[in-house]
Amino acid sequence: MSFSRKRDRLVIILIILIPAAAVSSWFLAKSVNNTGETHYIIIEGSNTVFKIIDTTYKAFAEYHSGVIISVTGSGTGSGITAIIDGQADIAMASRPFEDTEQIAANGSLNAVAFAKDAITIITHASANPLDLTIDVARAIFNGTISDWSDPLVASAGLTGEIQVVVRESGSGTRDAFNELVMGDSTQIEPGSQYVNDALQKSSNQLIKDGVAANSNYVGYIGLGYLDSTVKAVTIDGVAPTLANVLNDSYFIQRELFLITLGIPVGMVYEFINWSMSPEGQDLVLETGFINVAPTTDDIFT
Amino acid sequence: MSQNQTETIEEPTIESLEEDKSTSEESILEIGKQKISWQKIILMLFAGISVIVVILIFIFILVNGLKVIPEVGFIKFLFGTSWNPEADQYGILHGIIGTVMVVLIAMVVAVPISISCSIYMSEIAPQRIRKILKPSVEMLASIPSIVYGFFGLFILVPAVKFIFGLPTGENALSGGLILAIMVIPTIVSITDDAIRAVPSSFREASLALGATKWQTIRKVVLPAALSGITAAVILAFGRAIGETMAVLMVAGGASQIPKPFFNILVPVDPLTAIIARELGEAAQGDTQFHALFGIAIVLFLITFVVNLTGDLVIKRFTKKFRGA
Repeated sequence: MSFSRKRDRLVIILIILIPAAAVSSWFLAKSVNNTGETHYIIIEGSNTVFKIIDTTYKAFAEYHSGVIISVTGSGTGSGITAIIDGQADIAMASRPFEDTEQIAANGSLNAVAFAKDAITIITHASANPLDLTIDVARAIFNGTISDWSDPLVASAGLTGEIQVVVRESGSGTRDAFNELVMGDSTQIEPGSQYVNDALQKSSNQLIKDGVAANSNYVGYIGLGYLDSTVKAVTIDGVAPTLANVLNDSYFIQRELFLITLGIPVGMVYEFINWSMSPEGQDLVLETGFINVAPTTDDIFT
Repeated sequence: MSQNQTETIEEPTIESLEEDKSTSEESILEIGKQKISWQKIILMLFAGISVIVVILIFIFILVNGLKVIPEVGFIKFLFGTSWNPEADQYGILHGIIGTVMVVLIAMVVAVPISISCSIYMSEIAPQRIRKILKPSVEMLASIPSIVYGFFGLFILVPAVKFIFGLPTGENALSGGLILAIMVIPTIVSITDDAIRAVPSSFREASLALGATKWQTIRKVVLPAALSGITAAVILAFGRAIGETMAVLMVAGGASQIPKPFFNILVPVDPLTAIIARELGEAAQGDTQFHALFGIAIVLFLITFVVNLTGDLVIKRFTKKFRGA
């Protein structure tokens, strides 16, 4: 095939122009940033915390003109990796950071607990109200109780084999559930492990969808995801409600964190501080999670 | 074919309109004379980028993934039966079995369907049916895999659950069926090309000897296209192994080895699904993180071997017809 010179030149010009345009727009964005007119906050991490921040950041951006915030829900591990690598300013975390992560960050990870979440065991919407003790709940999830006809769970009025649905390992929701229901996370006893054929899902939403569509499924999700498509199980007669989590009578609960590299400064500090303020905490409640601080306090002094 | 033709027609027309004859002749004469030019260097640079990217990714995976050998142990990693990062168990045998299972189911379902489809398309169907059939099969290839995943989750999974009366429809069979639909266009279009590449003199000779159309297809055309068909199957195999999103959503994701091991009606956990599900939450520098990259190395090696075999078969196939 022959190349005509004109076309050749056009192709070469395009090849040079496209990267040049990309580079120049990057410099342009940089220079705007340097003048102090625009601030970028990049937030990445837990899918659970994403549900809160996705609402609160919009309110924060309204009060602070010139702030551009991008929020990505990619998982707690990804979020912490991103701040260590300098790809993000704040990591959303549904579990405390691990020792290995703190070592990778040279000990400079700084976590602020800004909300609480309760984990609720759910069954199909058609089930009768079911009350479990922690021991029975563990027996369901480790496979000791494998059929809905078992007298301990028969009051749910469901039929068939129990199909357990859980989060994947590394998930903050799963970590908390393991610790509070299945036993300590370092425990290797068979009693603390999930039944072999437990389906593992990468989000609360997928677990809820699965349980909503299949009457023999049982799973657990964060309180923020609970709605009428599934039915929440009570533990020792205590229902997973805001009031019961606040007075600690419903104890399958955990903290949610915003993690930064070092002590936050500038707009990142403003954002975290604002998240702890009454306005920020109001929005935490509004998104279905539980507030940890009623008043504004300077959390870093 | 048709593309090449239009280019050769278009090329001189533009040149004769925009440039005088002497320059256009000169540029044609220059072809083959130039050993190296600046255009070549620039193109080589860009071609080099893709190679460098592949090498960098490979190094990144190796550096992270090989750490799993001292941390877990080679045998314990590859043949360990239990994957449970919370209890420091990192065996991926269940993942290997899961991958093999869904891919085999996909091939068993997809190969007969696709080959029959391409035989019909290239040998039997009238031109106007072919004109509808070929684009619609090829369109299957352009559907994003997450759409297949959702289709599987909402249509196939409940159907499998209902038909077999299982506690869950998310299992190896559903994963395999979805994969089968996804690899059909790959097999069909390559097989179609292979069958059409069989010289028509073969068919004419067979028909002239008194063979029926079906005998010609079965005894002459298919054997002649066999290496091309093999290549199609091997490439589809490679695609099925690497597919992630659909099997993540449909195969269940239970860290267990099926009992008995050929039971396709239980949830399984293909290698790609483990990585996709857990990498986002794994802590950097953790053994789990390294084990997930270790899985990536295993997948890389499997895909590499499959693609290499595919390439060799394709080479044999093209050589044969250059000779004919």
